[in-house]
Order: sequence, then structure tokens, then C-alpha cells
Amino acid sequence: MSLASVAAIVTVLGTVGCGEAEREAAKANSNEITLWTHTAGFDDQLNAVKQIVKDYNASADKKATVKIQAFPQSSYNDSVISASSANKLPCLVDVDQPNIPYWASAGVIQPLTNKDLLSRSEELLQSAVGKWNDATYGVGYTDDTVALFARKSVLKSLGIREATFDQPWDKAELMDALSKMKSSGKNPVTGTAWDYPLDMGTASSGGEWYSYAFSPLLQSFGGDLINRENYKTSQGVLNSSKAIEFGNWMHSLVTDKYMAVKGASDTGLEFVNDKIGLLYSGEWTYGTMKDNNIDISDIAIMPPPDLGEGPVTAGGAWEVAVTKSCNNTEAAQDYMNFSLQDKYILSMAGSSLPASEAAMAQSDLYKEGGDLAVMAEISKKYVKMRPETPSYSFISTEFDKTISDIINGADVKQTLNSAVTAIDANIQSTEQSSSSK
Amino acid sequence: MSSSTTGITKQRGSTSFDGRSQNRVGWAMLTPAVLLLLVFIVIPVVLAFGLAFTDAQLISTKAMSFTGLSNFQRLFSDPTFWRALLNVIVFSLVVVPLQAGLGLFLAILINKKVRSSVFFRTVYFLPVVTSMVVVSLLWMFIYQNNGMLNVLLEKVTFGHWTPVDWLNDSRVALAAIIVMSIWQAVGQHMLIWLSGLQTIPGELYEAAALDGATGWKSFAHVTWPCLRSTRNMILITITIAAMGLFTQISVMTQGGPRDSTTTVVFEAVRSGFQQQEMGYASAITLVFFILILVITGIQRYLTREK
Repeated sequence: MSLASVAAIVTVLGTVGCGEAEREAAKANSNEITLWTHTAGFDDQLNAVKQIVKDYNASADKKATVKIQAFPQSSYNDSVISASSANKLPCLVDVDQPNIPYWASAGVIQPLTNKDLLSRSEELLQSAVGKWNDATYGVGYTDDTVALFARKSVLKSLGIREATFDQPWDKAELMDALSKMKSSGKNPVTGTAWDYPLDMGTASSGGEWYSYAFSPLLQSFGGDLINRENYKTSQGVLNSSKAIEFGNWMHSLVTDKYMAVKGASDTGLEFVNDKIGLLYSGEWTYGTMKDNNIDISDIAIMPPPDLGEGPVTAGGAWEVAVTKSCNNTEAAQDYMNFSLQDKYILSMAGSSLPASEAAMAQSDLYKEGGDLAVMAEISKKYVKMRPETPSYSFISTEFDKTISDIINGADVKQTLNSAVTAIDANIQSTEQSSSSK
Repeated sequence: MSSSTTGITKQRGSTSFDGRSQNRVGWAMLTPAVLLLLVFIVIPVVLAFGLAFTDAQLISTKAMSFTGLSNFQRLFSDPTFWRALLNVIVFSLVVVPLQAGLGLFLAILINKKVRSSVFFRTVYFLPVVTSMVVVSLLWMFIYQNNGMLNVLLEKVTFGHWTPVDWLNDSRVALAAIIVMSIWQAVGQHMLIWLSGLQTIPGELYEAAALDGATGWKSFAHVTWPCLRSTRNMILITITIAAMGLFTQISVMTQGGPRDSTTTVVFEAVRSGFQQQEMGYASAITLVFFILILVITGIQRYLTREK
């Protein structure tokens, strides 16, 4: 008796018979499938999705009519989880890449089987394809990644070497850059006073950002969220001496006044307004810079620093997957395949990385010499995916709290140890249960 | 509640509306409320108590298994939980007397038949009808490093004030939340006090005045004793609300910095919905339920009719 079925019973008790009729109707009407998207409020992306669906519905050899239902991102995952408990999922859902293993193991989504679709997925950026247990579950149109942003004029004036794709900063160079920026205290070219030398998005605790952005730094130190040999424990990786070093370093950035415990809520805007010297963020801040007419040729886009084990950057964005309760998987996958044409990938991308080489070559931002071409290089060379395990969402919330505590001055070793204990307990209970199916 | 037939001598046939049909009407009127309570309160509560002894997850394909007391063992060995409990107790100990006292003070102030009293009543009541989420967001801006409060203090002290990041400093974060919580809810309790004050017959005050009682004496010997039932109700409602502190934490601090503002309900929601550990979250709510039960029980005992 699973929780979902208990919830389902309660739902049925509460709403007697309602839903049965709908399900019957849905079975009869399987030539209409619904797509749930998390893009309500992101007009560019939502319009792109609408256009794809419109074209598909107008195409002669469509296998079903696709309808869209848009949700705001902040409540999207909850909606899917509740709908899954109540057995009311549509055929197609958006899924954030790190959630793929959890949703797959929980029976929310099912593996893709369509040959054309699978061969198309081979051509995409591998960080935009959601796999688990050697099966492909999700395909994405775009990927995101993180980098360091600074003004070239500032670096030059302070005598800081601009890090390049081939020659990233090492830790000493990063700390040297930060201390030069701190002693300057202002943009030496324009004279605008800075609040801090650096912002890494510390204001965004309580979401996915801490795990997405800070676990690569942890990995660059030589630690990790989980032991990637077997995905069974965090012992000796999340609380290793390297991880403790990382924690102390994160805390020292605050105590040395290099960054705020809680920075700006919109770090891109903060950088544009010249309140910080160095920004650690994703390629989406390009949009903010463009909107505010910043001279892009003065912006240095640099790979994340090499903190010991080489630079590491984040990967994995939203993808589309087929639900397990879908009654027309053929049509669902046909639509997915249709939607992965280069022109559509391009229309979905905005300032994100287009997921196929061909789309990249056609993109003004990512083609050879484009403003963000280096972002694609950084992603391809340095990306390390967040751990692909059903326990990831637990690990993510635990890591988020851990880092938040550490930059607020908690004892590093103790905090990391208690995170490991909690994560290992969660993995164990998930493990036991998957084996006792 | 019960339509007891004692003392009512029914004359046969004089009315078709006898006790039995009265009963039936009563039950018919009760049914919707009972059903709703059953579906949305009783069943979930019973489920939660059952789940507390399992390793249920929010969504999973696995069969739920009975884990006995292991959730509680984990809970009682978790320093974060004890910290949450401590925070809630501190919060309640400060908020209950302050909010009740301030509410009574305001109620006495505006319990005068002057023209401006309606205006003040409205002003004090405004935060209550504003959503807690909105109030929390506003106060986040007030408490910021460069926010209104710090700027104001700087102006008042002629620049001798060093700005405090109220919500990100573990020494003052809980205090900051206490202040805004009292400000938000005091109007509601002011109104309850006010309704209590207005039930006190004027003759009592006149008689007290004849006996030569002045302001303070008439308050101590007339007002205060007459407010007994109002007082008990306010005490219990504020206690329960304070123990269940959640919204402000969820919006403003997420329990940080370093667990200094985390609460029992916040931990339960975090475990259940962010970390999908429904079994563990249910164990937290079960402990919380028992705690509330004990505290209100003690309060009822202390304020019983002597």
C-alpha cells in the first residue's frame, strides 16, 4: 500500500466517482494529448512552445492533437507530484534534469522507445539528455551553464589577467583578483563604488541554485555530493578533507568581506549596475546585460576557477518526458521528435545553449565568434552533471541548507558530517524500498 | 447543542416539531460541517499518525514499510529539531504576554465613544486583514541592511548606528520576526478584547465610581475580573498560533541563519514536501500535536473555574 494509493483512496472518498468519468473519456479520446510546461510567465519560451504545438497540429502526418497547459515554475513540480498521486497526469511533462532519476524510479515517467527520437537524442548535447539506469527518459532543447563575468576594462586597470577558456584562473589568481578588487573598492574606470567584489547568488538559498552553482566548486576542490562509484553514500566525499577545505573557503569569502552572506536577489542586475566587480552566474544574465545596453565587448566571460581539480561547471536544464500513465506514447514521442528540429531548438533557446550542434551554428550568440560561443565551450569541456540518483532532490535540499549554514558561520566539519548522515539515511531507505518492490 | 427534553413538558400533538424531528433537523444542519471536518481534518490527522511509524515517501513506487519508532529516534537525535522546539518555545513565551498585553492596552484606548476611535480601530486592524506573506515581504525590505529600519536608526543617532542585517544575523533574526509577528496580529486580539470590554455592564463602573474607585482601581476590580473568559480564549488562541509559527519563516528566513529561526512546523513542511519524507514529517507533526495538547491542557487547568 503506497502513499500514493492512500492519497488516491482519500481523493476518491472526497470526490466520489469524479475523475473516473474523465479517465474513461480520456481513453476514448487518446488522439488528443496534453503537454504540461513550466513556462507560464516566461513569455518567449511559452510562445516558442505554442508555435511548435501549432505547427505540429497543422502537420499532415500528426499522430494526435497536442494541447498545452502552462504552470508557473515555482509550483510546477508540486503540481506534477500531486497529479501523479491522484493519477491525473497528462501525456507529456516538462522535467528538470536532476529530477529524472527520481521521477523515473517513482513511476512518473517512462523510458523513450521511438527509434527516430532516440537517434536524434544521440545528436544532442549529452547534458541535455536525461538518462537513468541506461535508459533515456527526457530530451531537452537547451542547456544552461555557469561562468565568471567581469568587465575587461576593470581587470586591465587593476592588473588582473583575464582568464581564458584554455587558461582558467587557479585559486591563487582568483583570490588575488578578489583582494585587488576589494582594496580598490570601486570600479577604477568609472569610479562607481562597489558593495562587494563578488556575488555568487548567495541570496538564492532555499531553491536549486545552491546545489547547481556551488557543487561544481566543491567538485573543483576535489569533493563531491555523493560517491560516484556506486551512488550509495556521501561518506568520505561530502565530508572529506577537500570538502572541509571548500567549506572553509566559502565561509572565508564572507568573513574576508569578498561577498555578502545574502547578496542581491538579481545578481545580473547588480553586475549591470556596477555594484560588484565579479559575478558568478549563468549565461542568462546576458539578457539582463543586453536589456540594459551594456557594452558586451567589455564583458569578459571566464570559465569557473580551477580550485585544485580543474574547473567544473554545472549542466542540466528542463527537458520533456513521457508519463507512465500516458495512453498514446506513440503520438507523444512523435511530437517530441517533431519538436526537436533545429529551428525549434533555436526558437526555444533565447540566451541558453541550443542543444544541437546545427542549431548552435545557426545561433547568433553561439556560432563561431558569437557573444556566448565561449559558454558552449565551457559547458562541453568542464560540465559535471548533478548526481543521477533518485535521492538527488533530498541531497539538493540538504546541501542547500549545509552551505547556507556554513556561510553563516556554522562549524564546517560538523555541518558536513550531519549532512552526510542525513543523506546516507535517505539513500538507505530509498534503496531498501526499491529492492523490496 | 443537545436538544434535551428535560424541563420541557411536551403537549402531545400541540406541535409537530417535537424533540425527534428537532434532532433530525439538528443533525441535518450538522452534516455538511461534519463531513468536511471528516474529509479535511480527521482523516488526514489519522493518516498522519499512521504514517509517522512508516518510511512513506511523497511519491514512490515502493511499498511502504512499517519502521516502528525509528522516525522518532531520528527525530530526537536531530539537533535541528531541538533547536526548532527551543525557538518555538522562546517565540511563544515572548509573544503570548506581549501580544495579549498590547492588544488589551490598545482595546482600552479605543474603547471610548469618541469620533476617532473607528479610525484607530481600522488602522490597528489593517495588518490583520493583509496577507501574512505580503506583510513578511514588506518587513523583509524594512529589515534589509540598507532598509528602512537601519536608515531610520542611523538618522536618529546622527550616524552612530552601524547597520544590522536583521534577518541574516543569528543573534537578532528571531527577535526581528517576533516584533513583526506581534505587529501583524495584535489588531486581531485587540478586537477580541474590545468585544469583551463591551460586554461589561456600565452599572458596575458607576457603582465602583460611587465607592470612590479611580481609573486603576476600577480596572483591577471591575474590568480585569470581568474579562476572565475573554482572557482564557485569547491565551489559548495566541499560544496555538505562536507554536504553529510557519509563514513568516518560510518567506523571510527559511529557518536560517544556522537554524536560529527554524520552527517545528517549518521542519515538518521541509521534510515532507521538499525532501519527500512523509513518514518523518508525520512523526514531527505527531510530536507537535502532543505538545500542543499538553500545553493547552495545562492552560485549561490553570484557568479553570475555581
